[in-house]
Amino acid sequence: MPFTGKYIYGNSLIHQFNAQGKIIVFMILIFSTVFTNSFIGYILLFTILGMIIILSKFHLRVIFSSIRHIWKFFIVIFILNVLFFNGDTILFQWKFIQLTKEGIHHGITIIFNVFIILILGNIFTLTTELTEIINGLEALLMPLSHFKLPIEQAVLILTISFQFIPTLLQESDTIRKAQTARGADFENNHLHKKIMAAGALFIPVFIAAFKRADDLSIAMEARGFRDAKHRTKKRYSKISISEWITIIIFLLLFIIQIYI
Amino acid sequence: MSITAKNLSFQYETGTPFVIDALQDINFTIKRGEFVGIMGHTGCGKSTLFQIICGLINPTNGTVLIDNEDIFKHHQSYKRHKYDYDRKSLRKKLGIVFQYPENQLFETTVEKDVAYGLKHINMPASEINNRVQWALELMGFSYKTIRHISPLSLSGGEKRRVAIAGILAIRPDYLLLDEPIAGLDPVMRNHFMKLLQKLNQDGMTILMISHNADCISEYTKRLLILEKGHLIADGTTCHLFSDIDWMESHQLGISQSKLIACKLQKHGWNIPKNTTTYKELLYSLQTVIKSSSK
Amino acid sequence: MNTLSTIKKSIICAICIALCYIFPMVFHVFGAGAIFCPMHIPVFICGLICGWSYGLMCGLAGPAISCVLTSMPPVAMLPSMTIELITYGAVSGFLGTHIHTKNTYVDLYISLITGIVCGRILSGLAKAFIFTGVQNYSFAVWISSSIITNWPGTLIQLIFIPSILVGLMKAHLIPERYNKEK
Repeated sequence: MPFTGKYIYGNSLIHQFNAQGKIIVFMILIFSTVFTNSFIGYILLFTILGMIIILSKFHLRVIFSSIRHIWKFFIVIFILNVLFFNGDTILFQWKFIQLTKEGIHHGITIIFNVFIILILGNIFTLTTELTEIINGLEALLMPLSHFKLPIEQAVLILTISFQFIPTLLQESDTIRKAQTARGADFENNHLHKKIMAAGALFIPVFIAAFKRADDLSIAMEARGFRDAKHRTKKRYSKISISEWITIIIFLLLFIIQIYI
Repeated sequence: MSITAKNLSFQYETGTPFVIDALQDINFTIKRGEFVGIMGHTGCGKSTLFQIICGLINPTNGTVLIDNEDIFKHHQSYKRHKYDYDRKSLRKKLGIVFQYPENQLFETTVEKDVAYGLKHINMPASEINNRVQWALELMGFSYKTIRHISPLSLSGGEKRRVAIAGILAIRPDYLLLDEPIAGLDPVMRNHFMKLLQKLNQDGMTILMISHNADCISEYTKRLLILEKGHLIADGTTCHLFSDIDWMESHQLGISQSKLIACKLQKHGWNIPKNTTTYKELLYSLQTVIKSSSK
Repeated sequence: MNTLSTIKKSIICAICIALCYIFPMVFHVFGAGAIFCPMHIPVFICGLICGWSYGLMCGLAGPAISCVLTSMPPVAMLPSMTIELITYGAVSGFLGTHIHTKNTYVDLYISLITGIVCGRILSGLAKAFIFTGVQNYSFAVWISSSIITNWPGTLIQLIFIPSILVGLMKAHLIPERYNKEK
């Protein structure tokens, strides 16, 4: 099975949106979430989120799947914020712990923010293929290479790393099983034993991975690969007019959000 | 005293649309002291079968009995990873050599790496030293010169021998080998197979996966053949190899000796039908030549 | 000491990024994901072998990819974690190439410990900044908590990173730091 990340095939509007444009739109949305402070702002954001969910044509269960596992994390964030935020209107005090109105308000805001960003991120990765994400990023970051930043090389590194994921995953799984069969006890509850078992996994996995790196670098050099700069350039798909309009609408929304 | 597989099934990605049946309803019993070969195409479920027997993955259905004890038996109240069966005693009984075992080396010296498994079954230190020396010498190393070398700096073949020594040192009752001879040179291969034969004669039960028809037909007494997750044949090696057409129709390799014997039979040589191994072929050729010279 | 070609460094960096994604998954299987900080190790390795720029790249891409593909770490933790890992990779990488005490272990430990301390301090600051806002006074609490809470992870890093690197040198997969002493 090819490695596709979380991507699920579909033909919704969100799927078809150009990856570069999609990255821009989602970035704008994330920033406006961070800067939103008002009640109306959140209503607006949730409406947009709802529209995106409907447009993506996914079942709600798929979209919320990533939230389900980390609800504990929400509680932790909430408690931290409530405890560490200093407000004026004190509701409850016990020794150095104090509950303030501002603290609770802040906690709820943060949870809303995290929730929206998680769902956005989930929709983005569900609707965009891995290669498209990389190509989109490359196209967006290309202008930075004028400042002598090695963007091409970075993109090359990312592409290679994705290709290694399935093989390395399998290899580390085999090594884990082999060490278990030799008696390494990964599920032991003693921290000391767990740490010793971890070593039996880390070292062989690194050795196996570096062996692959060695082979690949020899193969690439043997075929005349010099460096990322001399690669043939790929042509990027252009952002269409309707997509530009969407981006501009979202930008305007972002500006409105800041001023509300 | 045996390994028994009972209605063993295994699925990958259970509950998704991509269900793959890796194993379906496998049943067999292997008695202590047998030398069993397992053949089949890549992806037919051989390695999965081994991992289940070792208790490394849980079967979707069915179970494995080792010495008449169910290794997957667990209390209803427990969820996964909690078994009645003591896994530590399983590690003592069963040794598994994975494909490319050289990948599992990690300790700073050869001696420590071979001793790794022994330490985990709580063996006294003096006994560990004896076992390590025994296993390394069995694999053709000189204990004194190799013990302090880092296993990572050895060559590929030496690494594999050290890794196998690490398993043999446990002296398991049952030894499972997954393609142990792939990539070994012929001399090393013969040496290794002879070693397995000797261990088997000393009472070790051996299961070996291999694509090498020659080694399978020379050394194993019994053969299991898997195809697409089903056990399609289980019988004596000699018997299974004698049906060349069947073997070929399932695209399994045939040993060279058997092929030569068949070709000669077709040309009218008087060679017995059950000739499979190199020695048998040599013997029957000698008798044919003797009788014709008379 | 440095005889690795650019291509090889790039590939090693790519592999370390892939491992940043793989280790947490493998460790998660037996419930040791959070306390062991398995994602930190490849970043240190990458920095110490390839230099600060590759370490930085690995620290930047590793958590991001893992977050995109598995939602681990959660998006809210991503900024502080990225800052932490970038610091690890860059600081230990920079010191790794510039400190030469004629002893491999001493070099490695100096770079490693400085990297860990810098990274933990910065991540503590970042967490305090992100989760409680600028007006909060308790930066010190956050920093000390970020140093203390991950002590099993720190222990693992201190034990295994040097041994992994020495193992790689023994296997001739990366060049030795110093030629054999006379």
